[in-house]
Amino acid sequence: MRPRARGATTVIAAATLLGAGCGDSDGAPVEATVIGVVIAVDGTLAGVESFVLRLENGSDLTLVPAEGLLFDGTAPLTHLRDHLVSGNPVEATYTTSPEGPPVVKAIGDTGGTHDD
Amino acid sequence: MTTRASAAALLAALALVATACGSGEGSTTFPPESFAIPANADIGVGRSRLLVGIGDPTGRRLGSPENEVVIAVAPADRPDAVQTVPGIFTWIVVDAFGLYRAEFDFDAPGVWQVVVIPEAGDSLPPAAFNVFADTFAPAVGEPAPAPQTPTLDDFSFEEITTDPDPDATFYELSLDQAIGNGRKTVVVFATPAFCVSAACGPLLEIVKEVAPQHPDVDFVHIEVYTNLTDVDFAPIPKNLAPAVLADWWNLPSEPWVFVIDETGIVQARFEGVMAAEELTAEL
Repeated sequence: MRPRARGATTVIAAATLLGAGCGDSDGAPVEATVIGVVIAVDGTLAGVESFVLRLENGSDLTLVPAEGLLFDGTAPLTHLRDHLVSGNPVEATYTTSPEGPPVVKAIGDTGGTHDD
Repeated sequence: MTTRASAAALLAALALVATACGSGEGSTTFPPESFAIPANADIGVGRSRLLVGIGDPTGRRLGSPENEVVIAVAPADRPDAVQTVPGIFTWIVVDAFGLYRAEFDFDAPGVWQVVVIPEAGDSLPPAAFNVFADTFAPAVGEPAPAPQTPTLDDFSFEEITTDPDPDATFYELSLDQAIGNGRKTVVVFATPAFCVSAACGPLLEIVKEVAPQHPDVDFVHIEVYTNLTDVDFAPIPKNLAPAVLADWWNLPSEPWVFVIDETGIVQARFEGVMAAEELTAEL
């Protein structure tokens, strides 16, 4: 058995901005959908812990996936690494959280046009 | 040093390099909104290959073999310790998209920054990436894990690979039979069926094309998932093949190619993309 010195997840090194904010004026969670290019993925084959999208306005958004989330409802989230390599944009629907990064509840290939 | 200050310091340190490298006589330049994307999941201290994509906010992937660049890296806390290397472009999908690759000596763990310097025009903004004290997957020089893995002796093609056109020789040996048997081993971790984009499919095909030229080397394909023929199979963590998990190869991503020497030591590792000549150079 290979000794494993590093069990903790990595920290995404990108200088990201939590561009979504933390909710509406009352602090209630807000749902939003964005389109962006994957520029960083943090996790292993067993699961993605977080990832970063560069949005069309040039800002970066760090997101964490909801438990059990699949890409387009069928593929493992490690597919995000394919998008990091290919550059194909993704569309993510997330809910803001006052306690951390926004949580993604749906993610998949883009389809049609969107206004962010 | 803050991230912004570090990035500014790196660009300042590269100003002379850019002047020398970007003489204005070349034609490579990228649109103003372009940015670099470090594409590795697992770089450790030591000499390692860095993969860098060039993109824009719309998702276009830029670059080609004709678009020559120099790639510069430095630790975020030591922006003056710059290394610069010409980038070699590798197609992932020919004439569609690819990545630049370059080898560097990463002498310390932590946050590093990469700058892509085109032949003409401005350097791209620095992009950050991690260098780990210990890699997820086995590093060059480490013993290769040797789990028992499924072969055609006991399983059908459908049970052990999602390659629609498998090379039977890749499923003759278990890893524990191949590693340390006195022959070099090339092991490919890939899941052709569940790598939806074209980004990783070519890697296994490249290895299959190289294999016949090296009859003295054992080639093994390890499918990333197991239980493939179960009626309720899904590409989810519970169906990850034991060989890719923490007890054995501990892969952070896929696909991967490892070259293991005759004594069972990792000789080379290729994450994500690989040109045929990179593999043949190790054999």
